[in-house]
Amino acid sequence: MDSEALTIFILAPLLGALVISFLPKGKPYLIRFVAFLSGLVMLAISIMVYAGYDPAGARWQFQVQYDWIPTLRIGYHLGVDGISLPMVLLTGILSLAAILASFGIKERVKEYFVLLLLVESGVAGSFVSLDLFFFILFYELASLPIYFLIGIWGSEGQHASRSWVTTRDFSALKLILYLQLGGALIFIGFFALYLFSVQAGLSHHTFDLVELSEANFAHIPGFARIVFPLLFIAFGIEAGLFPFHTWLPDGHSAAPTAVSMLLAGVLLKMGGYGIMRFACGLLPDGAHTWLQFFGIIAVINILYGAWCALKQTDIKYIIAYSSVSHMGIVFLGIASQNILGWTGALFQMFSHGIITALLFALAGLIYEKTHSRNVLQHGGLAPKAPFLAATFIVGGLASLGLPSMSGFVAEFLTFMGAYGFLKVLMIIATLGLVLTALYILLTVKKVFFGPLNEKYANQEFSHPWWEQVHVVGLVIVMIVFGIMPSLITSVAQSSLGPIVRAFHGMMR
Amino acid sequence: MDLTSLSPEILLLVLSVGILGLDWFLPKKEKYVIGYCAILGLSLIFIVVHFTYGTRLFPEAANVLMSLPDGGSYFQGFVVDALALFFKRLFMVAALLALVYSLAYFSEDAPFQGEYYALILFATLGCFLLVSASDLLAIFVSFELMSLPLYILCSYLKHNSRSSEAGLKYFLMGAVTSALLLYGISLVYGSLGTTDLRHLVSPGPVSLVRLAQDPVLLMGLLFILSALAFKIAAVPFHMWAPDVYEGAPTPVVAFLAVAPKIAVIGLLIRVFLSSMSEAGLFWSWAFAILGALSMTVGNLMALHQQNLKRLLAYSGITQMGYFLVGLSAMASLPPLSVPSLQIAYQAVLFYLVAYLFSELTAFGVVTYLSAKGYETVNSCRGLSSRYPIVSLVFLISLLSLAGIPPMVGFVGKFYLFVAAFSSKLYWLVALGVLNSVVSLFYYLRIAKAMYIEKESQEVKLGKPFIPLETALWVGGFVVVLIGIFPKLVVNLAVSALQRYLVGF
Repeated sequence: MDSEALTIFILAPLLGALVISFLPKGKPYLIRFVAFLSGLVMLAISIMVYAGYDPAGARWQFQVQYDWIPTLRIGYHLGVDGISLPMVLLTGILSLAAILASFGIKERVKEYFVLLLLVESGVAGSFVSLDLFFFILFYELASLPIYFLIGIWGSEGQHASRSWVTTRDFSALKLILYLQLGGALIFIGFFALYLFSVQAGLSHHTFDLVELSEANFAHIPGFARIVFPLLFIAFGIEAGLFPFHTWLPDGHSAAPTAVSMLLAGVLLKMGGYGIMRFACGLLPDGAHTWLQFFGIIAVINILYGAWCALKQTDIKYIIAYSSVSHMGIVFLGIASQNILGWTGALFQMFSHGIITALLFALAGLIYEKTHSRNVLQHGGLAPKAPFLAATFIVGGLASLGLPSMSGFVAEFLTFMGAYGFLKVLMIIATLGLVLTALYILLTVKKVFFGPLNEKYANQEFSHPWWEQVHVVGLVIVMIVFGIMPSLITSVAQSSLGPIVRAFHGMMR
Repeated sequence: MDLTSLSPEILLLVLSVGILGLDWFLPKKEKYVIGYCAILGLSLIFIVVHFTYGTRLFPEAANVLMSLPDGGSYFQGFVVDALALFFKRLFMVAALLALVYSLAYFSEDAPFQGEYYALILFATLGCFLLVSASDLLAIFVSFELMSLPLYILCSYLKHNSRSSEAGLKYFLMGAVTSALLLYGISLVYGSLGTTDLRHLVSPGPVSLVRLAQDPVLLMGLLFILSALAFKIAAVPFHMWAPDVYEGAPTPVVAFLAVAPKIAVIGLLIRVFLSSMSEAGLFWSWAFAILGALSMTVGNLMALHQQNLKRLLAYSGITQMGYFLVGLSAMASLPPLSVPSLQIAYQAVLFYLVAYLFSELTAFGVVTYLSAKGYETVNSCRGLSSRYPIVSLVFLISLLSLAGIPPMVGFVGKFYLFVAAFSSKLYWLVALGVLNSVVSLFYYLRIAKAMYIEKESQEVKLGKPFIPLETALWVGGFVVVLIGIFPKLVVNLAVSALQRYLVGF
């Protein structure tokens, strides 16, 4: 059981999807129940794996390995270390939350849950696979269903500036083409790693990550200098790296609530995780050459994202641009190349995943009640909707980095780390924090305070149990990890250590 | 001389002639039995071939081309080796599915059924012989046997002007192709004084230096290459494909999109790769250019097609581009680097299987639709709500062609690109990978019509035809199954190549 835990982690949503596809159409309760069950299994396993991981033990734990295509040295190889562990936990939490947030879906319920569970399985798989082939496989599995999820259940109406398409068609296509482009570049980067693994000191070509991390690509002149930026940009496209981030606001805001939660919560993190794991983890010397450059782009991400968020009036666009800004902090942490910055980046990925999922969930709820996403048309909702107001304010405060929330720990660590290496950049980046505070507080003010819009005077703001459960659950997670950051830092540091030491080796 | 190793061909010939004879005896009302008989007979041959030849590898006869003892070949013209048997099994699958599709497509009282089914079997026989041929003249004869029935089949709907046009067009283009091939053969013969493929074997006459010094030989080989490129519709020899695909009866298209192309790729492997590895770099460039053009042009042309069959024609051109990438990878490798070379060979064989099932399954669905006259992307609108299984199978096959996991096309492309990357064809891999992103656009257009858009017209497909539904189910299932467990096919490919690569 123990060793197969990760397989079950991937298979639970797949099996759920399979069972649902055989259920009768007319019984949405049954469909929701099965989906809920598979989400619950995912959460349980992620917690179990998290608790069972021994930071003092071997780096890779819960490993499973079978031959898959032996001629190419592709194996079904799963395992977790301190980098993937927080991501696994995040996936477990958000999978269940996204399923709960989808209970309100009324149209084509069956297909919706099948696709949603496929996405979750893909995300789960890509965080735990230790084989490059399987990483790509799960990456694609996670991204393709999103096309249909947005295309069928996304926001209706014509696109604001492109009158020939509907919003959801446009956003879905844009998103999938960007993600596939990222996938294509990852493909090429991985082939390069495979092909040069022998020259890098391995006895044979391999796609196995554990074997590859023993290779030393620094021996090959020029290799890392070319492949590192390729991989960084490839994963960066998925993580919202400037200037490839434009799919992100469109995609996130056209998607149905639960899909926005998953997109911002875990899919962006697959990009960040990929950069840490593959780009930097395997090519530390390339990282050393390029990371100052990417540090600058990270700062652009932070400031530009925050500035755009400030200018938006659509609440989902605000949150989406805040994601661009916050992923900038992840990039900055990675660029700082020290243990503080990296722990901060990892922490930020986890914390931003939770926070942004919460905010998207709340934005979805607000839209459901008010039928408008324009913050200028809201106003004064706080007395009518105390639950939404309270949770949104808590989420917003976490997002702007209030101490005792998870966002604070993450940003504090990242900026500390960045100060150690990129002083000027760090100082410029802190401006982003000011902008963040500004747009979050302005949004809160516009939506919840001031005079009440007359339209909503008679609107009921009641919430069924599933909405309350996932919102409150996310708030609790956010606070728990804010108060006890060691939950993540302790497991992370043992695995981050070797990678960061490789950087120090470079600097000497 | 041992005739048993020729038994697949003999059995198939007996079956085809038998079908013609059966047609003679059956009364008009019962002609529909012929199709079922053809399917039954072919299945039996498949079982026989698979279980006798698949396991027993003919120690004497099944030999590599290079070290072929005379006992293994027939009149110095044909060889039976594991590679040929691998291909023959693929042809039988293609023919079987095409026969099932034909049953669904034509009404029970359609005219000339005996001839129709016999012609499909004759074309299959041509494919069989083509992958076994080891002599340029044998190649030409098999090539014609494969092509001629298809010209007739394309114009089978004789009261439909589109179909007649397709047949005529295919025939004219095919005639040019045959002329090119024959001319090329005569030039090669003029230069080398032999038509036996074994005499083209390295370290024999065809080295790079020889090619440069002997323009006649070079022209001959280039003519042969262009003739073969015509047959697989590689750009710039692709013009016939869209019109023929659009006009010909869909089951025939399903067959001609798969079997002859696979046969020609088999032939390319034999002629250009096994026998001319010395001049490999030259052929590698030729394949690379053809491949790059096919992938790109095919994709760009497919983007805005409205007719499903035309769209699949262009997508087929793109798919051939991927094969050419694999062939280029094979050719560019120095003969000594056996492990990488094996990967390249396996990749092409694996992708053949992937292409066979994905393409045939997609055409199965198109047969289903076009039997009732629906042939455009728009007619797929809202299909998923009325025909969920058909739509799902179509989606699976299209995603497989696009190379999306967990479908088999993904593993196939992955394999091919690894092979090309190992041959240092970086630019070709980059182009191929980017092309698969572009191709997603038009495959998703169909998927979007089926799943996202609302019905605009009432699509009525009539009551399901059980054999066709079964074939679609099986096709979709196989596409996913091999995609998840690629080892099944990889092992087949490895065993097909085991003896073949010994000579290197």
